[in-house]
Amino acid sequence: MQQNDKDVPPQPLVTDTAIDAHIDAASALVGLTIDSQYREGVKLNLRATANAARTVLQFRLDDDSEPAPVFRA
Amino acid sequence: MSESQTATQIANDVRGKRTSARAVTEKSLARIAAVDGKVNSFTDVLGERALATAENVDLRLTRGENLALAGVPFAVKNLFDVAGVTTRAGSRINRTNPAAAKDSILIERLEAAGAVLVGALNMGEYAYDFTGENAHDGAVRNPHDLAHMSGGSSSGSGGAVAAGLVPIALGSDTNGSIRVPSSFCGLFGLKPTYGRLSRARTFPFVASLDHLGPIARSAADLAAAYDAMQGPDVEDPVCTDRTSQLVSDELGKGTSGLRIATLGGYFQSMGDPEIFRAVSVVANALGAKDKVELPEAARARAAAYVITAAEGGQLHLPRLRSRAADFDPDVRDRLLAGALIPAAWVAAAQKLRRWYREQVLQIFDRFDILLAPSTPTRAPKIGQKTFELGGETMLVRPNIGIFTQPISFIGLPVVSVPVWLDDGLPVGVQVIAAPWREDLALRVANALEREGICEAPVASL
Repeated sequence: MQQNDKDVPPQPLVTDTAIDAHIDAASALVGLTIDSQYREGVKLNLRATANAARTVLQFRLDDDSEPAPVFRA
Repeated sequence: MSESQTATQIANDVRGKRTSARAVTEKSLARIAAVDGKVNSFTDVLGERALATAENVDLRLTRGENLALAGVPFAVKNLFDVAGVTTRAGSRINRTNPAAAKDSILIERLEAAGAVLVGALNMGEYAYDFTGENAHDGAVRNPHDLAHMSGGSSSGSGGAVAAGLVPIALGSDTNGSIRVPSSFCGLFGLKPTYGRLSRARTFPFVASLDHLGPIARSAADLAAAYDAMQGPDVEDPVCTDRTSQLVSDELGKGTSGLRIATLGGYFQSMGDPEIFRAVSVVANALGAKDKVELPEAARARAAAYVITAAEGGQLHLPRLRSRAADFDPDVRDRLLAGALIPAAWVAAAQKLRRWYREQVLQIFDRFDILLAPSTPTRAPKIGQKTFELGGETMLVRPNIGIFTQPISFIGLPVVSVPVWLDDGLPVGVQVIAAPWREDLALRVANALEREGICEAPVASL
C-alpha cells in the first residue's frame, strides 16, 4: 500500500460546465428534482466537494489498498 | 445544587444525604426556566419525567444502591431517542414522526447510574453544522457572550452546560460537533474512540464517522459519564465488544511518563495566532517540547468532507425528494449536492482513511498524546458568514472544523480542554490519544485542570 502522487495523472478541472452537466444527469438518475432557487447553492456545494475529491484522488494508492470492510479505530 | 457544582460534587452530596435527587432536579428545572430564554439551548424540558426519575433515585439510595451519578441532572442533543418524545434531530421534517418508543441506550445507562434526564437540546439541523444556528428553533447563544455562536452541531449541549443548567450533556461528533461547542463555550468535551460508545436509538448522520460523547465542566465529570455509558451493544454494529475500561479511578495518575507532542504543519496554519498561543499554553504546562506532523492531514480532512457529504446526502435522499423546502436552507443545499456525488470519490476517500490510519498509528509508537487546536478561531458572531484564516477570507460554516476533522476521520479519542487566554471568549485545545486510550486523554485533561491551566466556569447570565 504505497503512495506516490508524482505519477498520478492530473485530475480533471472542476468546471462550471461539468458541474452543471453532472447536476442534470445525476439528479435525473437518483430521482431528485433540484428546484431552480436551490441550484446555485447546490453548485457551490458540489464544487466544494469536487475540489475535496480532487485532493483525495490526486494521492495515488495501490490497487490492493482496500478500505477496511468494517472500519476499526 | 448550585449551578456551579459539578456532577461529581452533586452525586457526592446526594449519596451523602446532604441533599436529595429531587431537590437537585427541581433546582435544575428552575434554572432552565429562569435562564434558558437567553441561551435557547432546550427544545424539550421534561419536568414531570425528571421529577419522577429523581424520586426513584432517592428511593434507590434508601435501598442501599451505590449510584455513581446519583441525582445528576443531564440533557441530550435532540437526536437521542427519548421515550414519548419525537426525535427531531434539529429538523422541522422529523417533527411529524411518531414519538420514540424507548430511550437511547446511553440515556438508559446514565439513568441506571442514578443520573436524571431533564430534557432534550437544540442542535444544528441533522447535525450538519458547526455554528449552532438553526432556522427552525433559533440559534443557541454562547452563554459567555450571547452575541456569539455556541458552536455546533451539539449547540444546545454546549449552551446548557456553560449556562449551568445541567452539569453534563450528551452530544454527537461526526466531524467535530462535540469539540467545537466545547471550544466555543469553554467546556471539557470527550469524543471517544470510534465504536467505543453505542449509537443505538439515535438519529444518524454519517455512519462511517458518527460518535457520541459527553460535554461537562470537569474531566472527572466526563470520566464519570463515560464510565457509566461504556459497554457492548448488539444494536450498534460498530460498537466494540472490548471490555469496558473504566477511567474515573485512573484520573489522578497524572502525566508523568507520558510522551506528549504538539501537532505541527497543517495544525499550525490557517488559524488565529491566539489559537496557537492556547496550544502553547497547554504544551508548556505539560512540558511538551516535541513537534510532529500527521502525514496528509489536509487530504484526510478532504476525504472526511467527501464521505460526510455523500453519506449525509444518501441518508436524506427520500426527504430531499419530497420535502426539500422544509430543510434548513443552510443544510439543504449541502445535502442536495451530497446526494449527487460519484461513488468513485467516496471509495477513494475510504481507501485514504485506511492508509492515513496506518500512518498515524505509527506516530503513536513514539507519542502517547498529541495536542492541536480545537477550532481555528474563538466563537464567531451569530450570523457571521466569513472569517479570515491564514490571510484568506473563508466561509465560516464549513471551515470551523478544519482541525477536528482529520482526527475524527480515523476515530481517535479526544478531550477538548478549555483555555482562557484573557477576559475574552475561551478556546479549546484537543488532547488526542491513540485508539482506545481515552484514559490517557482524560488524565491529561484532569492534570491541566488541577494545575489551573484549564477551567470551565459557569457563565454569568
